[in-house]
Amino acid sequence: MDELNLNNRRQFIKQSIYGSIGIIGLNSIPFDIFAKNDLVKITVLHTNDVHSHIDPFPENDPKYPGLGGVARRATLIKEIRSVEKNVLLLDAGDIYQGTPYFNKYGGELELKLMSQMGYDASTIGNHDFDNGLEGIVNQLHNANFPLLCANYDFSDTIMNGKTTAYKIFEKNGVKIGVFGIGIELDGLVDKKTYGNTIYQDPIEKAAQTAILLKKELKCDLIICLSHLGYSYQNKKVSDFVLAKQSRYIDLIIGGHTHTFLDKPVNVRNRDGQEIHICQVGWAGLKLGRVDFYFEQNGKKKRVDGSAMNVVKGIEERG
Amino acid sequence: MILIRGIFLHFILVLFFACSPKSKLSKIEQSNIELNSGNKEDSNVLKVIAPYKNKMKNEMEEVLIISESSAVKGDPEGTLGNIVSDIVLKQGNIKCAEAYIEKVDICLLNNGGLRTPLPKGAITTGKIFELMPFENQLVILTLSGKKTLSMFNYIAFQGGMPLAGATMTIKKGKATNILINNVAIDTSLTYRVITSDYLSNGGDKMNFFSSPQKTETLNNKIRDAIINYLRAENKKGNTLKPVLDGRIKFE
Repeated sequence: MDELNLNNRRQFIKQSIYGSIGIIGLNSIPFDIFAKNDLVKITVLHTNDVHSHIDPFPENDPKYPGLGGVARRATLIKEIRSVEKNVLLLDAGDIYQGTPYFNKYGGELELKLMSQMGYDASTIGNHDFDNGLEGIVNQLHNANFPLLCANYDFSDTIMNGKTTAYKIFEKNGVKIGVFGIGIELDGLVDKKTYGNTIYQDPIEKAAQTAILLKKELKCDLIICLSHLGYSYQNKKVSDFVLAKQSRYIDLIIGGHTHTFLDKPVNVRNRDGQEIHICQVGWAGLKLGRVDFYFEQNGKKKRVDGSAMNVVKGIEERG
Repeated sequence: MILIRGIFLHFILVLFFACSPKSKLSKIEQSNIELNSGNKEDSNVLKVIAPYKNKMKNEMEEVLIISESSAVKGDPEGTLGNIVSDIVLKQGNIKCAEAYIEKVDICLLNNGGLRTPLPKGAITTGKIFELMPFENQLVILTLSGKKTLSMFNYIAFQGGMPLAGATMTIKKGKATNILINNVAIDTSLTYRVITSDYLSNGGDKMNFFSSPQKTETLNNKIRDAIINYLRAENKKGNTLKPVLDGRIKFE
């Protein structure tokens, strides 16, 4: 199910990207008009579906020879933090399951390393249930960051009180609200592992949480960590569906479908405003990065955009 | 940023906001960074990993067999789906013979459950853990001919799945020309299908697996079945030969 319709998706992504370049092309004033110190830069780094891939893929791997690896990611994150003042490091779930590190140690090392790298938050993916709710609860002491989920009701389980819907980060006067959204468990995850966890409508819960973060808690930037999956050919709810239905969310950091989105996909939300969807494949092959620039004076500015290809990317997983 | 190797994308986007909150979002830049040998490894992280890695090193580095080529997923059939479903069918039948139970006709797995391709050359235990990380068990379901036909139509609807013991053609999203053990499907018969307990318990919503005529468990994890089969084949001096053989075709 993960990789359904990749061809359609590729085609679709292409169209979306060209579409977005077209829109940007309408704006003719270059962004150099900004005096640099007028802007506050928020750097969001993200991963998804790392699936216990601690070591790089071996050199004889047919698809990703020598790529990935947590130790490299740690250095890269450190380098970025040494240059950028306001960094958020986020994960969109499926931390667990995929290499013997999980079979042997149950996620202990994955969470320890994420803590060491300074992850700020993660959401919960379907495979994070693979050792049952106990498999999450018993490892939580290895994580110094919160698990965020707004649409799983854990109140009748041992997870009660172990997660929160959202967390607010304040960076240089910019308030950033981050919340999590999980995928439907029925038919995907064995019932005996998730027990009495109740899956609630992701669109509804995302809407409620986004309103709360925007209107009551006055967040300037709202990020959804989603494990719904990028898009599906059928009517199954996805990041794409959520983005179109949403308001107030600025960025969806997605997962589950292991989709390599080399550029963010821009969607108009229900108010006609742009929302961006990002996802960086799986296995820690890449680190995603999105930089947001905030004006502190509240004046509208027009900005020009450009797209550059610097180094050849890697193929999507087929 | 320039210091970091492997940045392959830099993209600047525009945003307008109608409302005026305290801090106004005015611009977004995006760049994904590939992690390759150009990225230095953090020595503190390597130090944390080392004891975990060393403790399982001997077990995970055992070479189970040599593969003559790599195996990857594909539609409607892939070398990976073919080789894994063949192995599970064969190992399942070894287990059936040991237990004096009737042999199985068909193996059906799901592409989502095959988590990594197999390389050419040495296949280690660690690689099989990556291929099949789940603790799923093998089950044998005895299905009516009608449910078996539904199964083939589901495979057709999916555009192909890892399948062994049968061949089929997908015509306009439906299964045709279905042969089981080289004989045309007969819906008045029952068929024995080996699969994972994940799929038989409702995973991927394969409804034809619900309420089968009989369910037998082999008390054997799929991963262990694969490992045992490969090790035994290697002892016999055999290699692994992943191939496409046209078992599932589009018309």
